[in-house]
Amino acid sequence: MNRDAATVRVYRSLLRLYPREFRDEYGADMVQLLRDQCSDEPSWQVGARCALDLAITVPTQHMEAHMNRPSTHLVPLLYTAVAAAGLLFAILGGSNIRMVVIGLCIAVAAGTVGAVTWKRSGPIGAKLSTDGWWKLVLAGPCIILVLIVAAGFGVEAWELMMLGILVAFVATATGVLLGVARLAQRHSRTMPT
Amino acid sequence: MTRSSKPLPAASLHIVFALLDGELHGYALMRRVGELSDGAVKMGPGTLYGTLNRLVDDGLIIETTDNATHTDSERRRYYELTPNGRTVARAELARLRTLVHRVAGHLAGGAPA
Repeated sequence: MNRDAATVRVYRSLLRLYPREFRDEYGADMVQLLRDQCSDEPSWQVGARCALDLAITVPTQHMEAHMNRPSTHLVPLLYTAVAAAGLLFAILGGSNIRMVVIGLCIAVAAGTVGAVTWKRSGPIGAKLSTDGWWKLVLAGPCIILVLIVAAGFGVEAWELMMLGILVAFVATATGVLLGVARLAQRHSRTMPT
Repeated sequence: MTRSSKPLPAASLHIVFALLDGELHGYALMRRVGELSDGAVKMGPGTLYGTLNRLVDDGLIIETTDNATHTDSERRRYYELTPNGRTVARAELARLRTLVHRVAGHLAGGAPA
């Protein structure tokens, strides 16, 4: 019971992260909802879900407050950029193990939240799974470009460089395969039966 | 109506489907979404109220807090579909039905209807 009260208290203070207008409108209902959830489920489970929820919805609400209905893909793009920055930070860290660890942690955390938001922002069943092939094809050259820039800065973390090159090749190869699969799907749809 | 005919994002879709049976307040809505998805979809407060806010703006749902039939001791906001929201929900249902039908046709090795 005390743990539930603590979860609600922490959540209430974290509500300040939302824009004032949204908080004033829905803050009390959100706290009430959390209280109801805590009575049904273990508070650690509710707390973990709320942490992810905050990470996703706080930037979304701020964007909605400052821009009139931005694209639903803006938040995932933001997290993807943070993940890329974290990766770059790790690469630039070179032999400084602390920088590498911090950079990788940022990249993994932002990448995870980014992946969840990408998944949530799209409509159900609106796209075929092969639709994003071109993004993967482009991802490879982009990663290589980042690595070249990092090498230009004198980075000598060769293990990470090799890993980056491997990821780039896998991304591009997967993208090409998905592109071919998509072409095959289109071809089979236009073929007379 | 401010909404275009683009397919609804996942959270909005679950909410409009949950409201097809009638008006619900936030927590009941969240539980209904959980029931409809066999527990696969669990929304946090920010996702739920952020999505409700958008759906109200789009004219797909309305708030019915002042409805005198509610007996909850605590103040709760209730939401229900507007006629436009009901039309959109049915259109989405038809879209998904068509999708499932086509995929099932492909899996069975036959031509899509």
